[in-house]
Amino acid sequence: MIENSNLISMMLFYLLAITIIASAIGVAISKNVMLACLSLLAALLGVAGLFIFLAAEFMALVQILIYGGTVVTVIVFAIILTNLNDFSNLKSTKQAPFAILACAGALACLIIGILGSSTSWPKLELNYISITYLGRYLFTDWAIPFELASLVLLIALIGAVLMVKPSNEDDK
Amino acid sequence: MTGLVHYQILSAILFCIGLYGALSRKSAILILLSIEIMFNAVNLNLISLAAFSQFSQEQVALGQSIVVFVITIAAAELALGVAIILRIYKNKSSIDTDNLNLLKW
Repeated sequence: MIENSNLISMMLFYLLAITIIASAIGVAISKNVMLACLSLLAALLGVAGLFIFLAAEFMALVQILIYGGTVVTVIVFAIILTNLNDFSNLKSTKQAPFAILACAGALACLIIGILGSSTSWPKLELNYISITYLGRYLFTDWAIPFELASLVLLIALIGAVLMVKPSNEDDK
Repeated sequence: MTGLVHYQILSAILFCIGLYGALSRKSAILILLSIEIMFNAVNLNLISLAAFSQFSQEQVALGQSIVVFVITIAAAELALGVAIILRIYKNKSSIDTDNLNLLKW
């Protein structure tokens, strides 16, 4: 029974991982800007699925709400407002070969580091914390950073509104 | 059973794909998309480290709290980034990063 569920969870993990990697490659190299945006949505939802796998269901909800709901919508609006009809600017820059080299090097270093250090991490069962515990933790130990983060978000949104507001000299 | 290593390698691959997109794209919006992929790789790494950590419950909550802050900062960054892109588009009628060489010496 346990073997069976392990096999199923393994298969689900690889399914999600393949989905995420394929969608991320779609975001990185797609020629169609809407396709890239929808691939981003698929990748974000896949990561939310992995969060559920990792017993962090609150994070999965936050991921779906903020990334799936808000971020993709904002980016779709940005695509609409910037009128990307000319797909010429979707081509890669001239530095793309160097970017491939840099990313392959970074990936090799990361994987060597991960595999080299993984012996010190024994296989354990997943830790689980309830949403209640997380909320109590956030609003007691981390109350001031939490409020500061909300202040940062508010200031950034006000700054964004001020930045796109038409100034009187320019546009009238 | 999937272990910590699987998640870490997945997030390393995701990070490098996002890095490639951010380095090789011409359109500023697509650079923003790739940066979101990189944020997600970091979040996945943090959550998996928290879930597999051998420490107390508080450490798990710490990992998830950091992800809450990362998501907050990512949302602020995205709002400002889109605002900057719209402003650049209004001024130059293009968001091709090759044309944005005002500061080039």
